[in-house]
Amino acid sequence: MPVPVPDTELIIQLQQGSEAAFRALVEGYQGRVYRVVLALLRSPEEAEDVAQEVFIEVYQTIARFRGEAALSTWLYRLAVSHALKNRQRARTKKRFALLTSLLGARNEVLHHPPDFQHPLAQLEGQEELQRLVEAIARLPDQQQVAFTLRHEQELSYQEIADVLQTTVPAVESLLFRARQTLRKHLQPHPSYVR
Amino acid sequence: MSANAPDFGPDFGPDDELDALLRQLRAQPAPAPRPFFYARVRARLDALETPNAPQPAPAALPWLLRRPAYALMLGILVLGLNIGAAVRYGRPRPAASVVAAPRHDAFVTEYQLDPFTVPLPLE
Repeated sequence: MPVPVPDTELIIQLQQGSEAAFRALVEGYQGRVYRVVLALLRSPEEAEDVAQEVFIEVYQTIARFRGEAALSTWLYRLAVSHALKNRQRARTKKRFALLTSLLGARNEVLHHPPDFQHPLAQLEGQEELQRLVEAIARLPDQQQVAFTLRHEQELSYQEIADVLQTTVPAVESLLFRARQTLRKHLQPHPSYVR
Repeated sequence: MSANAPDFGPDFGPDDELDALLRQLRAQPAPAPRPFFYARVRARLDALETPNAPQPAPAALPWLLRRPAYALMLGILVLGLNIGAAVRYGRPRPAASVVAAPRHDAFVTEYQLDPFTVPLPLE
């Protein structure tokens, strides 16, 4: 949904503590933030939780925002950073799941999450799409982020470079390598083709 | 498309299976957060801003009893150390064997020399 007021005005209102501006920001960007996080985390519950954290951080730090980057770039950057941190935490937790469930402070029991099917690829007969989504999920972090921003959010190379705080050639390289890797993953395995 | 064809990215490359799949993926309805997302963000912010968040009641049991896994591990560790010590020191020692005296001492004894005047062997 497009933001009804220009970003610069929205930022000024947010910095003045306007509740209406914060609401407009959340409602204007929640879909984009949620989709980026979901693409990286592949769990709707975690994605929503992380998307909320992103907006909470925006609310708490908007006073320090100096407008050096576009508001959307800043939001994407926060979303990517929170999602990657969350994923790293989840991987560490999973690695020590047994120990943590035995020795955890809250005596919590950790379960392995079930295999997640991306909402975009849940329709029947879309195994190829599901394979693609799984292959994207196996890409290295930076490649995955660049690929997601390019192909799911349809950001330009320059916008992706701004989000990742890198250069356009670096983004091109990331995308090139990502596509090469995906091609390999999507090709039928030679041993299965008879 | 041939697998060996050069790939210059989605904006330059030929239309291949990957691009077709990506188009198919983009054509699906975009996922969205559940309704009332803003209300949930606001509620979390309010909870963060409330200074008197309810604290968990202090547990009456001693710390170790509230962590049975730690207590069990500590018990196993102490037991293991004790068993180790028992095996190590409880083994019957071999009778003190007559250890051959060093050659220097034997020489001093045999010739009844004053051990303080005989120089020590160089090592």
